[in-house]
Amino acid sequence: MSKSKFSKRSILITLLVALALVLPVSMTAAQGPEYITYNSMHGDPLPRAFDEEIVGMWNEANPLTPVEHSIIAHEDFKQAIRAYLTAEPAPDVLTWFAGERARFFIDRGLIADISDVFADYGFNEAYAPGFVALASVEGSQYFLPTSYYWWAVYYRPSIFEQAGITEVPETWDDFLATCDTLNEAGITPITIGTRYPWTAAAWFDYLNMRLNGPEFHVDLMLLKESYTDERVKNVFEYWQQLFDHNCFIADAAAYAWQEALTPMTDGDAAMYLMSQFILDSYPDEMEDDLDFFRFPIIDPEIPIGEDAPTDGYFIAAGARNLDGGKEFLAYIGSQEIQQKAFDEMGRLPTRTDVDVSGATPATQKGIELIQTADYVAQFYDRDTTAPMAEAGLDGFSRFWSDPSSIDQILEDLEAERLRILEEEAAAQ
Amino acid sequence: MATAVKSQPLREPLDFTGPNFLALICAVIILVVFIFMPWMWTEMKYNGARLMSDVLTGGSLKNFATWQIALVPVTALLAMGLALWGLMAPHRGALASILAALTSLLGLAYYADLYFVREGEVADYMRANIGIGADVTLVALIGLIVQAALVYPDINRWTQRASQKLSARRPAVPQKWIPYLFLLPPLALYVVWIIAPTLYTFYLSLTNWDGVSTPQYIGLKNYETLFRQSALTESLTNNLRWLVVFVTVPTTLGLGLALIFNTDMRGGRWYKVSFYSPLVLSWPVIALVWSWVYHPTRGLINSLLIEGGITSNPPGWLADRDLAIYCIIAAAAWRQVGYVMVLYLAGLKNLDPTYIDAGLVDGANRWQLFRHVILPLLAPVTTIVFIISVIDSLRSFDLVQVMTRGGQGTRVLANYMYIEAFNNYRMGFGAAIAVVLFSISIIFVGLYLWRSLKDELEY
Repeated sequence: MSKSKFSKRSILITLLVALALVLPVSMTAAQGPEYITYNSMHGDPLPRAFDEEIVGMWNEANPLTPVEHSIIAHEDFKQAIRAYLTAEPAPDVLTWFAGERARFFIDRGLIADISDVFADYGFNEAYAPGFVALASVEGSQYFLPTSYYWWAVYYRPSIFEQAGITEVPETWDDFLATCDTLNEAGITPITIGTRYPWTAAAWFDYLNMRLNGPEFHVDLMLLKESYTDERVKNVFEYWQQLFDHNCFIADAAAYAWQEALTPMTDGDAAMYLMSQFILDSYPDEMEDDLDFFRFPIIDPEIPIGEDAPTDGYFIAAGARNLDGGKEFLAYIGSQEIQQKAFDEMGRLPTRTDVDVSGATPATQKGIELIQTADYVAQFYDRDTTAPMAEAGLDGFSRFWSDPSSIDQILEDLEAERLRILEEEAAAQ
Repeated sequence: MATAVKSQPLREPLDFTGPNFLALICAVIILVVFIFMPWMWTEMKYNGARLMSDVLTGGSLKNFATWQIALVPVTALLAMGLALWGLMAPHRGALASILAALTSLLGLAYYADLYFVREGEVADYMRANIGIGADVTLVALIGLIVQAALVYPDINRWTQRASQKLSARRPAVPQKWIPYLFLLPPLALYVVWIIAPTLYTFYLSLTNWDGVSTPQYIGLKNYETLFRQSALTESLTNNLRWLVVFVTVPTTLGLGLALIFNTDMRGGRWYKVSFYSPLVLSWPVIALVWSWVYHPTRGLINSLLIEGGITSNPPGWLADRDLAIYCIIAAAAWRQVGYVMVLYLAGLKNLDPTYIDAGLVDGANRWQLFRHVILPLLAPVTTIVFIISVIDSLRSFDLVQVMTRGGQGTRVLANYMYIEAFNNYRMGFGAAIAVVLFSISIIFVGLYLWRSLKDELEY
């Protein structure tokens, strides 16, 4: 009997000792990990590979402060960003657009002040003054603008040749004539995918800037001008001419922008008003047969405006690892990484010390396109407020499927503009 | 004295259910903790499974663990298998229990490696930031060893006596509370996840919340704006179109198919399955498949139209503002037909054959039999089908979201709400749309409840 009593006691003691060993261990586990969260919207193949590569390089160099990287599809990212920024805790580093889109969150205190990063890493000097200004609100920096890219009419020279077009159109009449020639040759002049209607907004931006000048365009974006103005109506009359000349591909609304590339690569369509990032999704082996020209000039008296959206990064105000995020942001903004971004993706750098001498002729042409412009706009849905952008994009796609309803569309847009202004006034 | 003890005949054969059961519990704890509790730091997402997969696939956290972490789930699975084996083959209970204790050493090897072998900055960091999950697992691993001690006869008897004493006590809860105690957890969940958010949505619809700032009370202004929007008319019209098509087309087709397949026809089972199979697919998958079918140049329909020489200029389907919404409804109806068919088939199977026989004896022809006997008897099913169709058409969202994102005049209420709330950041306004949708739905849900309660009382 005594033997069994002993073993009971021994078991109890073993258990207690085991517990005593384990408990202190649990007490020390309170401190948080040093990882950095990074949410990006770079879903297309080329930027995605680049993004994963730079995160990999960081993780190699900083084993104890790795970056947790999530890639979210572009359209979903735009919708989810509010949830990210108001989450507890928010992700540390995020990709985003410069301009009104960033300003919206800065005004609401959701973006962290990164003036210290700009000061400590010499970004104030290294980045072109215009972009530092774009990143600043009341003297403090909130956004790291890393690259921008031009918009232009992309076309396939071989198709132009086949249709007997020797020169790229420079004026509106040339442009319409080009469309007619292509149609006669049985080729759809312009392809576009408007399932996500932002692609149509490029046409509005350019027609408005070419017809009414950049100044009016800016005022319209800032809701200072009316959508029922005769000048806006005029934009849609010119747009209508393109429909009258059968310039656009049929059933554009069935395609996303990448899907609309297929008619072009198949040789069924010749032109696409698109940005430099067309190359991300365009087949590499066909890129030799892809060139671009400036959107045709309608009135030579009017200053030239171009769309050149700037992309970049910011840190959420509610970031869990603010210091780590700043270090990672400084890494992304460094000369080495930005040089790499330029070499691999051909976006135009915002850092002045990125060596662009190795640029492809296409990139040099793009740089010239922007440098010879009198005004550089971001893009319709980045220059105007979010609700107005949504209403505008909806209006453009309505116009696309039923051009005759333009008066009703413009009245609706004007009503939306007035509602937003009223709401803003009430909020103040 | 010693012989007297030995000769006691009351001693039962040793029962190893206890140790095996304990081993099973420990193994389950290890597995659950490994997947759901922080292995390092304090956040759930840094669980053992995540670390292990990062180590094995070279993910971003690969530096925070070593391959030995894979020993932990292996131990748990082995111990689980052994414990189950012991429970199912009681005469092997002792062996299973001891083997389970031995597998525990495999898992302990991970801890030995972490705490005594590994050196360097990273190892120090890992030791300093170990999470609660790793600790709990260690305790469970020790538990796996401790359970084997119960194989020792005296301890086994002692624990069995203790557990008998425990189970001899009656619970102190009065009998009449018991149903409510069982109801409490689901009711609590229901209140937290359904009732409270609904009420909160009602409140939000009276504010100008943008999802970021503090909501400000603005009275009925959202509703005033909403009822002036052409988008509301568009959405309501589309919902109404959806409703009309859903109540008529799939119901008729489904009933027809059910009547056909209710007979013992050749291959009937195969046909039933093929009509039912779309129901297995989720809405977004159906939306994607049909987007391809409707593709203007390469889709199934237009390829057939062009190749078959029927027309050289076929419609653009989803790109055509006048057709888009009907294209989407058609895709939805395609799925609904199988569903309705199954409901009616079940209804037909439950019919009392004596009524039909009586009808036949009275000389009814097929149509009369269907019109005056079968259809009235199917009335309860028809009500259910009708109400389900109405509710399904009101909550339609997925197809529109995937196929057109609400463009091309295809907005429906749920989709309109989503775009306003999550795309345009007008949460208050979105909530107002949600309230309108809720008010319409509640009529039909109420009808459904009233109907099913009435039926229950009748029987």
